[in-house]
Amino acid sequence: MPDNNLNTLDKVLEMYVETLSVSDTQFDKVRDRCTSIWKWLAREGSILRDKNPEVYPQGSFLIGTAIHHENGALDVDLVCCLDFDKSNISQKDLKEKLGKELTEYAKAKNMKNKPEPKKRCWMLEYEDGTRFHIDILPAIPDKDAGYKKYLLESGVTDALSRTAICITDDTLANYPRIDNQWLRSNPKGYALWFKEKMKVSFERGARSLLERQLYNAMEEIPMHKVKTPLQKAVQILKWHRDVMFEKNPDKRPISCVVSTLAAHSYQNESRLVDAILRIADEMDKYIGKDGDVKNPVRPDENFADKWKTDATLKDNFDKWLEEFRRDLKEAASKTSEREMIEVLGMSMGKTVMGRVLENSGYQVKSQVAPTILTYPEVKVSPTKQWSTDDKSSA
Amino acid sequence: MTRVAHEDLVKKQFQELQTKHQYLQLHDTGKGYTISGHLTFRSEYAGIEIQDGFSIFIEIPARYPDAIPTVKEMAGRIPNNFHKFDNDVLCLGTPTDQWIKFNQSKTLLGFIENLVVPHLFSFCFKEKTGRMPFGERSHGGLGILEFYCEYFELKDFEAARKLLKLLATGSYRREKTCPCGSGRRLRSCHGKKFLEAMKSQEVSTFKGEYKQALSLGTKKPRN
Repeated sequence: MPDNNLNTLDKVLEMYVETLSVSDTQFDKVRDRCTSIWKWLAREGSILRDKNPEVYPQGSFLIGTAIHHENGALDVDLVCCLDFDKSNISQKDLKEKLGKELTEYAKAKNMKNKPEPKKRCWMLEYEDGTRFHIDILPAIPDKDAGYKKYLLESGVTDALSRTAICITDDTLANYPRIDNQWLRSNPKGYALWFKEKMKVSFERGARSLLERQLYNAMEEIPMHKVKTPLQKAVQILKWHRDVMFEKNPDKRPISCVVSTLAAHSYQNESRLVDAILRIADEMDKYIGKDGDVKNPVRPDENFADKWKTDATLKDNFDKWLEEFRRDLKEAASKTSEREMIEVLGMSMGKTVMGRVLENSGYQVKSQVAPTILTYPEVKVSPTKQWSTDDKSSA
Repeated sequence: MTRVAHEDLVKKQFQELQTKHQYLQLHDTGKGYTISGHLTFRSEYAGIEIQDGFSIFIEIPARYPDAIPTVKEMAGRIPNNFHKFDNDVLCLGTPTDQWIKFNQSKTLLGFIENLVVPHLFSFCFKEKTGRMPFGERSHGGLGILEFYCEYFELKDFEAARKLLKLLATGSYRREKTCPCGSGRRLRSCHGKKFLEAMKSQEVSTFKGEYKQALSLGTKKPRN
């Protein structure tokens, strides 16, 4: 591919990322909500005050790959870790203790709705004009020495395993009683692993923030403050997926599978276009022989476990990747910036395409309506559906 | 048709397709042409309006327009038990059904609107109402015979099978007695329809259909 084309495509991809990223203001809003909840839990009179509460985002808000929903809604997952021990609290008790405080919190903040219990978390709904949901996951530190030993022996470093947590699930039989068997998670460890995979790029970007003395140390910099090509690539991949599976969101490839495979493939390329081409090309090679996509900080967890029970999910992943590669190749075959924007716009949706075109100073055709897609009228004439017995004859 | 003529035709027809269905893209894979992207439509039948979109992938055979393109649905919405082959290709109708529809225009736009959209529409219609808008044929050979019964306006499977057998030989002899059992000559009986079908596609398709219709054995019609 001529380098000129690649430069242009790089610019176009950057413009798309700009448009579909969650803004810094929104990241700050999430941080403020974390602080606000933490302050509440740690206040004088809180029943959890002495439990050393810690509130932090997990998933895309932690690793800096969050994207908008098409409708502007924001769904954020937070972890609330409390210093209890499995030997003296049940999952139910933990969830209810946190629920009690959150109910008080919602009342104190004049929120319209009470927190709503979900399978593993509490959901708080903010009224901000647009939909803003926060899921708060009650958790305790995972102090199980045997499990820690297992992690170390499986090659997960001490630094990565130190942040492991246990979480609740109200569908489990032992949910109401004190019991050693809890579900596990480790969002902070995952984030650290993800950061490790883009270390060179991250440090490259972080340097200027340090020079401007915005932070004192590399470790203090939240991951979304530096946008590496890996993070941007994941955002593009997720957006492409969301548009493709708009009508079938439950069957789309899940974000942790996409992020993990992308991070495995990333070689600290400094240009977004190079990163995304490599990731598109290689990400499926990191699917295990038995179809597993292991959580890198918890080898006993398979992010793709549902592929085993529903074969269409793996199939959907393959088709999506095939589609993504094709779209990328098609965009790369164009020579002008505008053509590239428009070709990518076909699979990224009309709204973002319109915004990208506007931002880059192009005249936007009036047909770029504020909906994602337009639906041309087609007259259908009756055709009876039929299937052959010989299913392979096509 | 030469390779160049094939390419020109595909490109020209794609342009026409894209003016209406703007989210589709044409790709030159080096081995042939494919089309991918979102196919959106708004259609109405029997008072039910459907507005929907599907992520699709179309392969245009090298022999196009003497062979019909194949379509896959990419986002996993259409389950395997909804008129689909094992290789994921959507089954758009019995072979002759497809040819007659395709021959109405012999263009990509016609293919999309006369074959693909009705198929996707049927799926959405069933999702919404629980029933098929245009009815459904039986599986396999029985469905093929149902088609020929309708096509030749016959009530008897055996007669339909005999006409199909004659189609599979690839010869039209107008003075021959019509296989339908009327006792009249073919030309003054089912001759016109017979010729129309014969011209719609190659003999091999009829042979394939006939083979399926033969393998029926003693299966009874549905219902």
